[in-house]
Amino acid sequence: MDNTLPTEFDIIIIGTGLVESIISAAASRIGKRVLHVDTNDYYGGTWASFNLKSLQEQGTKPNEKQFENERCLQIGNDVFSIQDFSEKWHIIEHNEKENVTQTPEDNEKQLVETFEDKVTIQDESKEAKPNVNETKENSFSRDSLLNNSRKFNIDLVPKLHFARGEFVQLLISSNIARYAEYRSVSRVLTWVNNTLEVVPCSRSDVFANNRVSVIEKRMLMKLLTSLDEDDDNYKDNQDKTFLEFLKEKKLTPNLIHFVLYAIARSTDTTSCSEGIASTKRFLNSLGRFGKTPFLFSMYGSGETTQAFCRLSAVFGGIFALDRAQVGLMIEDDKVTKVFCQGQEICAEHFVLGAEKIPKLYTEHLKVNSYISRAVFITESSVMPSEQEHLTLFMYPAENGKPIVTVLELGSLTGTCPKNLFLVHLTAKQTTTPQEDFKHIIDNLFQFNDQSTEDIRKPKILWSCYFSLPETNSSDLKGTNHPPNLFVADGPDLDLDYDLTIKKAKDIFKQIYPGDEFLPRAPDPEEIIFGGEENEKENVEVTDTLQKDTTSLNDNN
Amino acid sequence: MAKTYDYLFKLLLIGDSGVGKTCVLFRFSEDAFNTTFISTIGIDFKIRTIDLDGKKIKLQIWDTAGQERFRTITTAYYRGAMGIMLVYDITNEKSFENIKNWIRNIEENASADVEKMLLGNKCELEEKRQVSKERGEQLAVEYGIKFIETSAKASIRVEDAFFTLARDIKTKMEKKLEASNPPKGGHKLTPTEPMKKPTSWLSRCTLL
Repeated sequence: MDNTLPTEFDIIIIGTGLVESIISAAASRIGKRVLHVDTNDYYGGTWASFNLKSLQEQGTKPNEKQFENERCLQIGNDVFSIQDFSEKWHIIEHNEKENVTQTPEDNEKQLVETFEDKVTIQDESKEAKPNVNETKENSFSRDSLLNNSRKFNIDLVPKLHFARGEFVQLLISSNIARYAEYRSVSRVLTWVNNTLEVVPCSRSDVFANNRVSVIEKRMLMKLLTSLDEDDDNYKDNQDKTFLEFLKEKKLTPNLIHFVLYAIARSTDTTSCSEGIASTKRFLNSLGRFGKTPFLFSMYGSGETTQAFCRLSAVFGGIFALDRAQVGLMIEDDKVTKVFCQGQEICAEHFVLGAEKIPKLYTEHLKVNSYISRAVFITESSVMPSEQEHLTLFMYPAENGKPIVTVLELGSLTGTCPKNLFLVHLTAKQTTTPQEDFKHIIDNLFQFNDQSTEDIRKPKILWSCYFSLPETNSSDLKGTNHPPNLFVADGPDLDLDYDLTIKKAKDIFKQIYPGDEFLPRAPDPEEIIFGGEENEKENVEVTDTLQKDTTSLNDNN
Repeated sequence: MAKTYDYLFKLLLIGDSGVGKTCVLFRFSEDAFNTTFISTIGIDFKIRTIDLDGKKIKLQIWDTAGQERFRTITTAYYRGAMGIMLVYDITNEKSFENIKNWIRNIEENASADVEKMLLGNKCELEEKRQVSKERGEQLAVEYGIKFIETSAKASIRVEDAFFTLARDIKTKMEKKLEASNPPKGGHKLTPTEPMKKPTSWLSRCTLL
């Protein structure tokens, strides 16, 4: 295959994180010639999703190799990449039942088959006699999980989308929605008085919830309705915390908990205006898809960056991944070219993902805060139910620990095999990921290999911890880089992509101030290639296709 | 609104640059041939509804958007695909050899039970042929998939190819349906979904 790239572009983007990918799509969409390069052989950078094996490899990956070229500044730094990665198995290597003498292919096939059989057996035995100890023999092994490695899509940065949030609106208005599929979060949980509770956020939840009395329901409705409709009410409350505000409304402790910690994702010190804004954001997205305000991207959040890259490619953007040697060539304080595997490629503007900034610019940079992350593979849900749930679980801040967002994903999300769950924990880092989440594990989970057994708690089969630097613009502005070089931020702590879109839009507007940001892409049937030889046919074709359009929408 | 089709199949085209994937797509979807689209700009997917054994089947056929050129096809491209057309150019040996790489790529990224089919395109260029029909057939046998030589330009057997692939998917799917597997799926976000401001919390709760 000819690996040579064209050598002239309007804009070169290095890194396939979400901010970079949105800029790529937006520039390509308005007709700019885009080259989009990554040193990784996968899309997404620090926003990627991995299968189980590739995620494990993240821990052992060597740093990007240095290469010798005096004329350019090699890209890549250690400051904004994944930090403190560690992973651990809590199950045996392989089951004795599994015949290891078979050829690897046969073995794999058989394992995949037995994998699901086994689980059914296990479930049945659990129901019949809950105290069985022989489950050990029937349980999962590393081999069985690794043979299903591809069925895992594990996000570095799991995100949810408010059904009427900016991200969903952008997907629809730009027509990028056709590249992705979403599932709605089916329940929101919180931790109150040492138990898990379902947060009532739809009518049926309110009905089902017997922990909320009829009077409380009325109080809750009254509050939420007033928050939703009345803006002036809160000017008097500017100096208060949201907690004080809720207490003044004479809500019961139970209700305060739901509104403050789960619906508004706030802490005891969150200001009233912030709390109200978060509550509104939640309420505004109710009743569009499913029972909760949230959607989750099928096959993981990493698919989102790819959807934007696809749009960029459809409009002519050229993609080159797995390019080991990439550097910036600078003349008179401006980036003039990108050095890419022996080629010198020019462009007017350059965009870099935060983790691609050359070391020279990050030397004096301090990362002010990190995101703590943990991922568990478990064999049951935190709150088992007949149907598979997609669960958002807000764990309130307590005893100096941060608010933790827990996302439990089942196989219907396309991110893990049947009968297993993927649990994502995310929080603003206070100490280390292990410390930040320890209390949650103590309260809700157990490691499969620990000595004491509690049948109510899901067992963790595999665990993984890491930290992600929380970049923010003030950090990056201090880097003193050339003016035609734009730095795209990495992951942030927002539940959705609102901040990300804003950052991408800001950079796009700086580069192309007069142009529209991601106007609607035409539907395929609207594109008519007016060749002389087929002009007549086009009329017919458009006609028949119109019928199809309605059915497409209908289907959806 | 009544559905105007019984099944919707997502199909993909895969193969080296320049083998004529987009031309095959255009021949099938619009019965047109156009050599002017250089590298698939602006072409996302095309739709054609066909009749097959009394069922209306809507085929949504996706093009690579040029991302095959430097092997940067996204994993997202393969999601939910039910059939894949592997295309090579009979006048280009290299494109035939690369089919193996594309198959590996499919195995890594597509669902395990995706229907595949091998297309040797540009069969009107007999005088420039580098890959014999027999070799195409043999490769297809090796992978247990069907094979057909086509010409998008001369409109030879392109219909056949898509009808064959669609029929194989339909057969497989109906077998599965009989085994009563309820389809799973997520929300597709479309602008037709009503965007009205939500009614207030209160009105959604008939309890009060």
